[in-house]
Amino acid sequence: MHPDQKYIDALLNNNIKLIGELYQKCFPLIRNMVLENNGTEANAADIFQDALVDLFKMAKTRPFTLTYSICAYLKGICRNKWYDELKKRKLEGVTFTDFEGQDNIGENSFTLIEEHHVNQARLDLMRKKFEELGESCKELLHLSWTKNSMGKRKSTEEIANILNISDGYAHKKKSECIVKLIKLVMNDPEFKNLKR
Amino acid sequence: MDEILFEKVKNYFSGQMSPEEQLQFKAELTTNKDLATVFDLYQTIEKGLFDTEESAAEEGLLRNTLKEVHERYIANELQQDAEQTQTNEEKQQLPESDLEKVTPAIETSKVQSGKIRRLGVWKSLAIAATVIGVILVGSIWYLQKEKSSPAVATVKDKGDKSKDITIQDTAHPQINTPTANIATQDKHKTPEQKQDNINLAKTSVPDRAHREALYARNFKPDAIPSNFPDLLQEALSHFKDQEYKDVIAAIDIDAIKTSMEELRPRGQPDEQQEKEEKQTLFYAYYYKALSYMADNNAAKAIPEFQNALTKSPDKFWQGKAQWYLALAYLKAGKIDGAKMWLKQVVNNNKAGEYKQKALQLISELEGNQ
Repeated sequence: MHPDQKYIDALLNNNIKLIGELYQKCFPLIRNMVLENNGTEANAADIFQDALVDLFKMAKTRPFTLTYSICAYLKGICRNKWYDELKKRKLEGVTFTDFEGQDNIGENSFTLIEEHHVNQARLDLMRKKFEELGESCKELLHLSWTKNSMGKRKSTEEIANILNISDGYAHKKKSECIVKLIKLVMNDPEFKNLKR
Repeated sequence: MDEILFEKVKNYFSGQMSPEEQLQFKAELTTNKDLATVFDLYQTIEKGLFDTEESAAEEGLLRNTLKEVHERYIANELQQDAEQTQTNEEKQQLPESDLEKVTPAIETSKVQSGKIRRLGVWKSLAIAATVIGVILVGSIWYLQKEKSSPAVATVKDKGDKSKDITIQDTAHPQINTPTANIATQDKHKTPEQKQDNINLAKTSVPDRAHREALYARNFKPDAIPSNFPDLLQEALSHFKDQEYKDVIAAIDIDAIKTSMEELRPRGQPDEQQEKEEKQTLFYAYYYKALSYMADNNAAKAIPEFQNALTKSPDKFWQGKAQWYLALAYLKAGKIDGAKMWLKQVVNNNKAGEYKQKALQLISELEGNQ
C-alpha cells in the first residue's frame, strides 16, 4: 500500500490536519498547471477541491487503494477537468500544455485516471437523460435511492406501499425504468466517446 | 443492441434467475462486452444517480473543511511572501561592505535548507566573522590568557588602541569562515546534492534593485484601443489622462455585466453579441489591471490579468496580457511566475514585438546580460 493512502482515509474521516498536509503537498502542482493554461488561482482552487470531493465519493462507494502518489492521481483528474473546462469556454487560441511524460506515474495510473474521468462523464450523461424519463419512472427511481426512517434504502415493498401498487409490479416497473434509461443513455451520440 | 441482453440483465437484477443461470450469466459477462456495458450501467443507476441527503451532508462537511484549509494555505503563503520580502529589504539596507561578507553565507544557507533565513542572524554572523578575522590576525595570544566565560569574550584589539569589542555567543557557536562552512556542509551531501548546489549558484535570483530596474525599463502602460465599447468610455478616458485611480474606481465588473445583460437583444443569443461582450470584459479587466500596475499595486493587478486572459479576444491581446502579467509577477518579486508567463509570450506566435521583449527579459532574469 502506498504511504499516501492515509490521505484517502483523511478525506473519508474529514481529518483537517492531514487534509491541510495534502493541500501543501499537491495544490502547488495543480495551481501551476492551471495558471500555465489560461486559468486563474480561483479556477485552480475550484478544480482542486472538486477533484478531492470526487476522490472522496469514489472512496466511499468502493474500496480504493492507492498504488502511487496521490498528487500524481489528483493532477491527472484535474488535468482532465481543466481540459473540459477549456473546451467548454472555447477560448481563442488555447494550447493546452501537455504534461504527460512529466508525471512519470506509469500507464496503470493513467488508465485509472481515464476510467475516473469516463465514470464521471457517464454519470453526468445519465443524470441528463434521467430528465427525459416519464414522471412515473422518475418518481419510482427517486424513491428507490432515498432512505427510510431507519436510515436504510427503501425496499421495493416499501416503494410499492407508497405508490399503492403491488410488490411484483414495483419490481417489474423498476427494472423496466432502469432499462429505459440505459437505452436513452446508449443511444445518445455522446455515449460513444465514453466507452472504457 | 440485442434486446435479449437487456432481458438477461433485468432478470439477473430482479432475482428471476436460477443459481445455474446466474453462474452462466456471470461467465458471459467476462466475454460479452455489450452485456458488461449494460450490466455496468444498470449497477450504477441502481446505486443512485443523485446524492442522498446523508451523502450530501457529508460532502458539505468536506467542502467546508476544504474551504478552511484553502484559506489557511493562502494566508500562510502570504505570510511567507511578506517574510521573504522583509528579508530581501533588510538585505538591501545593509551597507555594501557588510553585504560582501554576508552573501556567501546566505547562498550556503539557501542551498543547505532550501529556505532563506532571516538576515538578523546573518548580520550577527558577519560581525562575528569580522571580529574573528581580527582575532586571528592580531589577538590570539590575548584570547588564550583571558579567563572570561565561554559565552562572552572580551577582546582588546592592539591595532585599535582604545576599543573594547564584546562578542555575544550567538545561535551559531561554530563560526569558522564562510568557506569552511561550505566545505563542512558539503561533506555530508551526496554528489547529486553537490551538483544541485552548483546549479543553484548559477541561477542566482535577481535582487530587488535589479528587479526594480528591469521592471522600470520594461513597464510602459499600453495605449487604449482605437475602437472601444461605450461602457468603458469614461474609464478609458481616465486611462488616457493617466488618472489611474479613477480608472480603477470606474471599472466595476459586476456593473458592466449587468449593463451588458440589460442591453442584450431578446431572442436567440447572437454570436457577434457574445464576442463583443467577451471583448468588453477583456478590456475591463486588462485596463483595470494596467491601472493597478501604474498605481504601484502589482498584487492587485495579477488576478485582474488572469481574469483578462480568460476573455482574450485574440492571440495578440492574449500575448500583451501575458507580457504585463509577467511584469506584475516581476514587480511582486515572484520571479518564477514572471519567467513562466514570459515563456508563454515566447510560445505565442501572434505576440509580435512582445515575443522579442520577453526573450530579452528572460535572458536578463537568468543573469546572462
